[in-house]
Amino acid sequence: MIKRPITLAALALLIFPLSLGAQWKVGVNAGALYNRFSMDKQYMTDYRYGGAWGVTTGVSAQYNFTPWLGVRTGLSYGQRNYRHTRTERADRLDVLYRNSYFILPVMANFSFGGKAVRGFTDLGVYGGCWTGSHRSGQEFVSTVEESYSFSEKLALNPEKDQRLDFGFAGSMGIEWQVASHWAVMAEAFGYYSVVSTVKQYMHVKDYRYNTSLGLQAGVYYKF
Amino acid sequence: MKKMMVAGVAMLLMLVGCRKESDSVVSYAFLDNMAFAAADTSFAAKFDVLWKGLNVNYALWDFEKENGLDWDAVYEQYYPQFAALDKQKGKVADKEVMALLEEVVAPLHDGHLVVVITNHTTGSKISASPSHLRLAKDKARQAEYELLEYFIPSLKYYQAKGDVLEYKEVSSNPIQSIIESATAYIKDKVKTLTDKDLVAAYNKAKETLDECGVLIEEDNIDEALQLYNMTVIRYEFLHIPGLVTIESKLADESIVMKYALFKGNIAYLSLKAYHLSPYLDKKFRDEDFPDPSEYTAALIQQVNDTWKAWFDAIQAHHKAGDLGGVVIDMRSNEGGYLSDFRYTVGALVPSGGYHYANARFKRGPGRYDYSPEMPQPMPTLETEHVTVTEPVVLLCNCATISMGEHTTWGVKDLPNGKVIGTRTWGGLCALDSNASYSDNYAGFVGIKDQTPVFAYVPQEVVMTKDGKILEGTGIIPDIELALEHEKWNGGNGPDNQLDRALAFIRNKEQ
Repeated sequence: MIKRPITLAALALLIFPLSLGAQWKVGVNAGALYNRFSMDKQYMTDYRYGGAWGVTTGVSAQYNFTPWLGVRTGLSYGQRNYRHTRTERADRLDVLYRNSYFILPVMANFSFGGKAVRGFTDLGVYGGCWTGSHRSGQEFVSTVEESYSFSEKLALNPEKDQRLDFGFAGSMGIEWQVASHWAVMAEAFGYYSVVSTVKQYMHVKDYRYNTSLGLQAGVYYKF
Repeated sequence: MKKMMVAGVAMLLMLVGCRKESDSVVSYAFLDNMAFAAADTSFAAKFDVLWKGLNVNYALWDFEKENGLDWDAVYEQYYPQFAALDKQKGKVADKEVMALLEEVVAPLHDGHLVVVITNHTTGSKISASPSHLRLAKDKARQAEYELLEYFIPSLKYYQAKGDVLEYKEVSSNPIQSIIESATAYIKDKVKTLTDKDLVAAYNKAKETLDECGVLIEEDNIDEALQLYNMTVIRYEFLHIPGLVTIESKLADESIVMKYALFKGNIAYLSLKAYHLSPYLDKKFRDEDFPDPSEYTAALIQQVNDTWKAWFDAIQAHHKAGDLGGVVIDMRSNEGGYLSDFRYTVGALVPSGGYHYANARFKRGPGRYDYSPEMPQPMPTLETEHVTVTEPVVLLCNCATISMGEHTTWGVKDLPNGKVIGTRTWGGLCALDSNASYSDNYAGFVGIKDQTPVFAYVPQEVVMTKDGKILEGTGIIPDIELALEHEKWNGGNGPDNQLDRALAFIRNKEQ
């Protein structure tokens, strides 16, 4: 009984795009990702959690139902970095946290414009997985008043660190059809996390979030 | 357009609304009414301050977790029990508060940690220390500690034997000896007096000095010093010889140091507390004793002379090639200034810092927000000095605490070092004042004697170079040997631990 609606939906998905000139396109993309880390630093007033740039790269696939409406997905690797510094003792602390994520967005794609050059905007959600962390920079051993430069892999703590991420995704960009099957694109995009990077492992609730904005370029092959 | 703007704002609100707000955490490092007001009159609020303060300030949480402690479960279990105390009518027995507090702190491992809360229904201060609770469970160790807490090594047996070539000692807080000589003087003096008022004044002075003696025996040095100085001023007109005022800093920074050069050119130094910098370092000295009295100036000179005699003996005999070795006696050393390290082990190793341990600090409000593990190079003497390649032996016991343990560790890590004695206390993490709280946003919870909750919490975690934490355990000597206390007999008999150190150096007895 359940099989029948699924079969019908699958058929509809196949027939609908065929009838409206729908198409698949797949591509690769790379760029830079600026991440902002938000947390309540409480009374630690001179701490600063500043944004930092990282890299992003990935593959994407888009299925267009109509020339102006499609669904876009992909898998990308992105660094959601941030810097921890101090204002009062600026020479004592400057640490860059580099966090690796795999991100899978699913977005509705709306495009507009001519045949050769089209603008587009995407809106949707994403799921992510935090795969590793690294930190480097300058620290300070206050007991002996010594600075310390370091670079180390930071093991994720299963009790504290929330590896799974979820949030909203969006982008705006331009696509330029350069050959019959090929197109290039450039876009600004963003991920707005709604899952805290730390699990609520303490009686005192502590929520920390990533907000990432990126710029990237890519190339598509259209079937 | 308007609709689009409304939709945009609605969407933004929806996005922001998806994120949750953290609970608010307040600082307990200062006298802040918002932080402590409720704790003045509520046991539940006191527990809340203690739990939350430690949650942010204490840096050993991963270690405690490995040792089976669930700090959140502690909150769930004990908050209702403290809240129940608030519902009791009338006074809540100190014993009851103490029992609960001890249960809360007992699983913690930091060797310095002491928690003091005020029972607002009785006015009593209730304190609990996990180290002392651990000690109470180990009867043999407790017995050793009770014997040795106030142990001061004595070399009179060796001096009498003719084993000591040179000797110097200094005690910066000699109220006891001043009291003894002053009371002896008064006893003799009153026998010669006929004026009843004068006799009464002398006797009253003696009575007050005796009270000071009792306070000293009770280890209540601050109060003893205060009473002593008042007595000196009040009875100045009696012109009692040697009865001079003593600066309060001398009580805070008391020092008992002994130097001896044993036969075979073995340079021995013992130190009861690490308070050398205020006497040996000009910068410290100018801060602590800006206008020293004649008595204090003489004392500063004595401390300098004693330490320098040890240092010079090492330099001269090493250069002459006849230095037998060095003995550093840290038995019952109660700790003190980290900067003092340069005057003991730091004076035996090359300049530029001596790295034998790593440190880690808190770096945020989360329980597991930590800095990386970083080398903590201990201060070395930066003026010209020899590097000692001869054997260096350190003596320690269960009352060797904090900087005493750092010295032990420093010697243990030397290629020519050997540690003899019994396992140390297990409190190596460094502390700092409330004023330095924001250096690492870690350390004390509350202010001693001012806030209804006070916790003496270190600012950092100290660990071995390979990350092992020794808090609550201590350092195990290379050669484990307990003091034969009865034979030692207050210094009149042989000191078997010192004998073992001398034998190790003289006869290369491993």
